[in-house]
Amino acid sequence: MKKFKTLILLTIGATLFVGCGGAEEDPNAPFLPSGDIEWVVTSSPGGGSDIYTRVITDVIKQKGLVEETFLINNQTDGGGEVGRLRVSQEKDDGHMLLTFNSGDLTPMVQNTSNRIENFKPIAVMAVDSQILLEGVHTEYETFQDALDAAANGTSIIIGGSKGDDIALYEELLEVSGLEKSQLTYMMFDATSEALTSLLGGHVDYCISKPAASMQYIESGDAEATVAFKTKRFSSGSLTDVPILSEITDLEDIESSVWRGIVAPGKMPDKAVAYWSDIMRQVSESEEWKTQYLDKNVLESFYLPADEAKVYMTEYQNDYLEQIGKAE
Amino acid sequence: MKITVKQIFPGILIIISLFFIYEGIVNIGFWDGDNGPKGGFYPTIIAVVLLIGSIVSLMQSLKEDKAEFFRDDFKVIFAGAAIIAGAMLIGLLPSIAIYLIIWMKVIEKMSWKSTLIFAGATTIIVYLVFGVWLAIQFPMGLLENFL
Amino acid sequence: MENIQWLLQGFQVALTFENIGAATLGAILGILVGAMPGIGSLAGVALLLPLTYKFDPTTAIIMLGALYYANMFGGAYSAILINIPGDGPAVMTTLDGYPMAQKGRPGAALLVANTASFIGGLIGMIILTFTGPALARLGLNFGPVEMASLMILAMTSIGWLMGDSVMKGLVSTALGIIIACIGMDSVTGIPRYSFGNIYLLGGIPFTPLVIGMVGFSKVIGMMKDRNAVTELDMKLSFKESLLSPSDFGRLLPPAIRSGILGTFIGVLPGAGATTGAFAGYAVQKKFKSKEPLGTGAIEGLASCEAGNNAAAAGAFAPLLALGIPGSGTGAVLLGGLMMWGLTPGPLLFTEQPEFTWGLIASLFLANGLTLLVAICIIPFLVKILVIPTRLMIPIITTVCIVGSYSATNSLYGVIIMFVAGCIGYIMNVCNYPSAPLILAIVLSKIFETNLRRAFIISGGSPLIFFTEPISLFFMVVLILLIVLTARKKVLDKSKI
Repeated sequence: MKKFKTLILLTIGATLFVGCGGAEEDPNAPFLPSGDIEWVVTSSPGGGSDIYTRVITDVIKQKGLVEETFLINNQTDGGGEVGRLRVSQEKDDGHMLLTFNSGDLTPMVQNTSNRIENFKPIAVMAVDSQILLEGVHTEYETFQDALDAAANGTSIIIGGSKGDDIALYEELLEVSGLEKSQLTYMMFDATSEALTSLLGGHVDYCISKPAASMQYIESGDAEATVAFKTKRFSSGSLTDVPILSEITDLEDIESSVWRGIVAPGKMPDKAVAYWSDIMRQVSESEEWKTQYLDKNVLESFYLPADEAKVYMTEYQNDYLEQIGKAE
Repeated sequence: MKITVKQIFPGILIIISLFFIYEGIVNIGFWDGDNGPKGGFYPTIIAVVLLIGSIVSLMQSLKEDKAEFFRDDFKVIFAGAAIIAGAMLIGLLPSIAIYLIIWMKVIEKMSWKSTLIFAGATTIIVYLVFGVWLAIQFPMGLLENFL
Repeated sequence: MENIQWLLQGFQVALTFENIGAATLGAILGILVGAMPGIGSLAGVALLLPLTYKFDPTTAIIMLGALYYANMFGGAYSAILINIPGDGPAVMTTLDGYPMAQKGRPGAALLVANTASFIGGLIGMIILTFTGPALARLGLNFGPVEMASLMILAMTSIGWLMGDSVMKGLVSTALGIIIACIGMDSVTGIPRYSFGNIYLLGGIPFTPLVIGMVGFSKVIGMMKDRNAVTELDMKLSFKESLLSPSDFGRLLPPAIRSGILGTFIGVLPGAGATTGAFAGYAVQKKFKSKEPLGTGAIEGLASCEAGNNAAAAGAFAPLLALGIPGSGTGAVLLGGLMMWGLTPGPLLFTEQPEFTWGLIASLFLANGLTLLVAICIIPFLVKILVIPTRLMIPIITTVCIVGSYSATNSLYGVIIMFVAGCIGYIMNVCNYPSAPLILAIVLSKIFETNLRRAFIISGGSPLIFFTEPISLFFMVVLILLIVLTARKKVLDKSKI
């Protein structure tokens, strides 16, 4: 008898997690998630992308938009490429999402053969901006002085994170006509590390996003030197920060850092439409505005699935052309 | 003189270090006039150290006693490989359960009763602790496609 | 003295029945999860974070502090009992902890580890209380040049751990560094040695490698002892777990030394708890121990455990005062604290003193409570050792596989664990030590990144290591160490 019980328990143990098969579906019914939703984030818990994802799922829960549970899966192997590859290949019925930002796209197309065409974009949610910070140890009065010094042979070091920040640095090189040895970039794994180096005076300037820098600006440890925009910030605490053309003789460069969501390439169109609409409701909610956008100085920028697809594809192709990998 | 794993191991390391030196100098780059070391600088230097160390170890090993392997050790290695292969086919937890049953029955020659209790309890504990409590999603292998 | 007033006020807030209950629960869960190989403190904090959502902010933060500490305590358990380090710092714990357990004192070994952890953590918290933000500012002075010279000092110290054959130790260290080089070049973001393989691009994941190299390789070797009579003459009673006054006397000096050293290491950017544990142990080598280190010496076990927890406490200085998480665990903790309204950064101590000091008070509280919980559950945990080897083999195999899977959320981690286990087994058979390999991986990544950043600053000139004062100091120490060691070698030889 005991043996029999064990056998039953074993069978349960071995099959429980496999779950049950999907119910019969009416082909014309609109899509509704019928189980847990796996949401892959390709960076560590607590980071920018992770917070972005968790706020979205929190808003969805607060507003009761989706009944089912979201399981956030932080897959950071291979600099995130492993998770992205997995999502792109997944045989999916509408229960898997991937957080996908411009900072994910650029290393992906540069280092692997994975492309945005392997995914189904769901939405673009927001745009972030980039600013240049100087610390208390920065020797130069103005950024123009620093550029002049660089042109005259003193190496100026700019710190920053991966992805978006490097792209901005490359643009800065282009408009200033300086060489990499004159205006040198020091790459850090995360913005917080780059800021540490700036506070310690080990780099001259630092490229960052407003959310990560605000506290250091308020405490006087760092100062926002340049906003990489074509117009100054229109609201918030950074309205006094000049743009590049105001304080140097260079033309303005504008960062285009967007935060989006994509799904596996095999996700049915009905499910894509469903998720795109959920994200629209999130982006229109008051919670999203207060808990995410205002708190982290982001601008709302919602694009539904079809427009997101065009936007991301164009972004990818521009980038490929820029790095000379256009197909 | 017989060649044993004591010679094969440093021998493999010599090949690996030569590869790292070649890659480091030829493909990745060693030194850049303005910025100092490039990506290949550090690995190449260390690979040279590894190369020298391995050559010396190889020569020393000739004087050492023969390495001793215990034949049963390979059963564990084989089991590990089998679980990984099984996980790709039928999922991680089922293959661990099957491994436990086979191991206890065939290698340890335990009775069916204790085997099933042991395998069942271990699998269920793993499932409850990791799968339910810590919410880790185990792979289901090819089975996933049929569900 | 204002700090102390704030701290006392913090204690008043923290010491309620409900808060202590939540902290105790956090401590128990934290120890258990931290003790699972592959989970360790980083994943442990991340996994248990949601538990705190159910409470009000103060209680939640106290529970979070307890979880954090308990995870660090628990990391030593599997290292001592079954020789599988759950995370990086525990690698050092295996060196003396496992032999001590094998000598028939597993309970005492666990208690030494946890008492030392407590002392290390306490020293770290005290230093944090009195210096706080100033300590964090000190850490900022350590830029790439300083970190690179500190790390080269640390890496030459691996030599002290190399075991019998210097040449084999060197090979093991170099192999570790080579493994650490696979993946993304951290200075340029360009893949190297990845063979175009998408999995290798992010490097070899550390936790599965450690589980395989130390744990799985041991299981393979266990087959030999399978049929041996395992009824060790161990009295695994509560009494055995207690420490005698002489044990305590041996534990205290290394724990205090490592506590102070570890705190400062924890403050440095990116150094982390593993470096703290390693530095504590390396320094202990220079002091007298009653038994040789590596054979189950209380001094060795205490030095690394205290160093590890002190570094974890020291990491709070930059975390709170500057908003800079020194480690992965710190980053997760920061995420948890931010959910409760904490805005870390330079303004925290002045703008939110109640919150900050309440948190520090709860860390003190959590540290003590965790020790109490540990004392209560140790006598039960050591019973694991009574399980016969023939059952331990399948159990540990299962634990290695599930642990390495959980650490990476993919079968890739299991494969790495398996391959590392086979390599570790071959290394054991051929008498190559595996500890230098593992340490080299941790230290080498910090070293190379900072070395190359230093060269970027200097424009390719190595002179910068001798012109910066802090770095110059390390270089002088390094040269002195080399000269002294060489002189000792020559003297030893001439005696024979």
